[in-house]
Amino acid sequence: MSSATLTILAFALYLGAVVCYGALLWRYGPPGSASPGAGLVRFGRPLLFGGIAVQVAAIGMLCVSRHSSPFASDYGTLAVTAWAIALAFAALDIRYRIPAVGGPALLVACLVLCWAVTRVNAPVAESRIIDSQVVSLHVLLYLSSLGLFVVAFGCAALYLVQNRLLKAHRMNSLFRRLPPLETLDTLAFQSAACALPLLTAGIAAGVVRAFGGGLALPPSAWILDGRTLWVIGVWLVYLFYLLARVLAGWRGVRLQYILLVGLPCAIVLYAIPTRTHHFH
Amino acid sequence: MRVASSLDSLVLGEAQILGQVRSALMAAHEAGTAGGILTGLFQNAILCGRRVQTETALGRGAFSIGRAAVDLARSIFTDLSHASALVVGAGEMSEITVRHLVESGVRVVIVANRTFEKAEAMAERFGGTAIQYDRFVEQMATADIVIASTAAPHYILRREMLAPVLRKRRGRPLFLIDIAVPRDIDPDVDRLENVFLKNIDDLQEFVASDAGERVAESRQAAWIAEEETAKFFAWYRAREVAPVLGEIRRKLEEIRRSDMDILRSKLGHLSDREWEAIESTTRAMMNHVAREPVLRLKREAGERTGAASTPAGYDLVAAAREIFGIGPDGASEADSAHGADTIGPEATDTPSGPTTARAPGEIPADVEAPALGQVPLEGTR
Repeated sequence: MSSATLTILAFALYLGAVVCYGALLWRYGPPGSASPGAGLVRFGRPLLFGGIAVQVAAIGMLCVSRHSSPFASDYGTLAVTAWAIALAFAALDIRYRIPAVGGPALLVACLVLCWAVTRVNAPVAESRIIDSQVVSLHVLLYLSSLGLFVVAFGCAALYLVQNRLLKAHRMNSLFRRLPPLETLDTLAFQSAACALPLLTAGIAAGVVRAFGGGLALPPSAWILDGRTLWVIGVWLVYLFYLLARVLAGWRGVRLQYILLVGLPCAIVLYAIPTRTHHFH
Repeated sequence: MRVASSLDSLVLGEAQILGQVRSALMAAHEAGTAGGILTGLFQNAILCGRRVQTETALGRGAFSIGRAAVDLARSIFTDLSHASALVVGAGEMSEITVRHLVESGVRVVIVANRTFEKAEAMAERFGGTAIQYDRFVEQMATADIVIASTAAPHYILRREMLAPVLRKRRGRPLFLIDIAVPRDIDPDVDRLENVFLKNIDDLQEFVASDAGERVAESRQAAWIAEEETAKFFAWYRAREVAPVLGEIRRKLEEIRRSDMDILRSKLGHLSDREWEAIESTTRAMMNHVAREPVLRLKREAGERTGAASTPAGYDLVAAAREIFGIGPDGASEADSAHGADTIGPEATDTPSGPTTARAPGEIPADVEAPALGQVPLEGTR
């Protein structure tokens, strides 16, 4: 069985988990009803863990077959991205039991994995520089932060839905199926607060490697690269979020919009033109 | 089953009725008036009520304005035990609402009222604090849930009054419940971020909407009630059939023995071994004769779910009673004249005194043996 086949299997498992977690929101009745949708939720976690395990095998198989780190190709990097997102949500679900966030968070993981599958035959970096530990750490830290940003995004999205439901005069009992506003706000904040130091460390590792020598381009070319500048922009967005919440005491809808904007910015990074961050 | 499931309650889905059914059974037990059938029926009903509570959403949702307020508060705050409630206007409605909140975990209650003594009295009931009425706005900087229920003819809380309060709150959500008529809180307040205003009409509509959803859920509950009813009747019929089966066996055995006695008087020269063979053969014949009726009656007991007759249109148990001359308590019709009740153990105390339980096939002392020759010898061959 090839890595790509296992990745497709993981995609199917994650998609199943999205359906199961999303089932929580299907039925608008009071909680605990005997609807098939409510019953599906309990299968979400096994599917999620199954998907994570299958992805470990897929990524491991990729590394063994290519004798390189998974970050040596678009396919590997995207696969690890989806894995990091799933892992971040799994950690949150184990700790806080908030299946409602699973729908949006794992949907992002599915989309990223889908993208990865389309890039299975993308070129693999020939340079061995990319296999260095610092580069691996640099990418891994960025992807870990991205996983947490996705969770923060999921919490923020549900916050906005919950806020809208509670503000509406014609009540819809869907609000009972979502976590309380305070919980969503706190979890979004905690996820972003954990993610930003990881992102900072990831950028720092990149800077260390850029100045470490042995590269074809000078450090200034790496620092002024489109992707580097873009990721600094993403870093600023999340820094603004944290400062606004901690120092200015912002809470509520405005703050969640920052998280909603932050994630697409972080994901778009993959599509930013670059002279340095490529696999050719 | 429907009563215990609260399907027949005035407020569909309310949980109190199940407790009342349980209490009634306990009271009957204490009074010694609950027998086997009645206990079985009530236990089945309690099980049915529990199934409805766990397998359907009939018992969930808001039944009252107070409960609706709690549900909404739970969707805003992570932990109500860390939330504080401010009551403005110590009226009956606000007291009911705050009681629901306190029962749901709210620990800090602050009461403001124009008549300070009334505020003190209510605060005392909830272990809270009374404040002067004119301080309630500044108190909102620390309160999480505000219940307004004054008799003021105008708004006591406007948007501009809340602005400085919200600055002090640093974005913490504020849940305002306006249960006053006319309104106490300007509806414009709801436009503010992190402020959630619900008035009595919103809450009433919410309660009505939950009631509507419970009606939809009641179909599933009714199905459970029917299923449990069927289970109860299956159990009940099994109890009803058992004495009939015993009596059929007893009667057949009686016939066999009487015919064996006649045979012994005529064939006295046979050896013990030959008699043993005859005994064994007659017993086997009796079992063959009884096999089909017994099987059919047992099947009838398992299949019947309360209907008075089989799909073919007749009551097999009643027919068996009639054919074999068995009285309603399972004894021969000669016994039933003694007044035994139709319903099992609780009916053991009859006007004619307590009856004693018999093992199937055991011959009661007061039953007359059939006359010799009543069943011809040929009939057993």
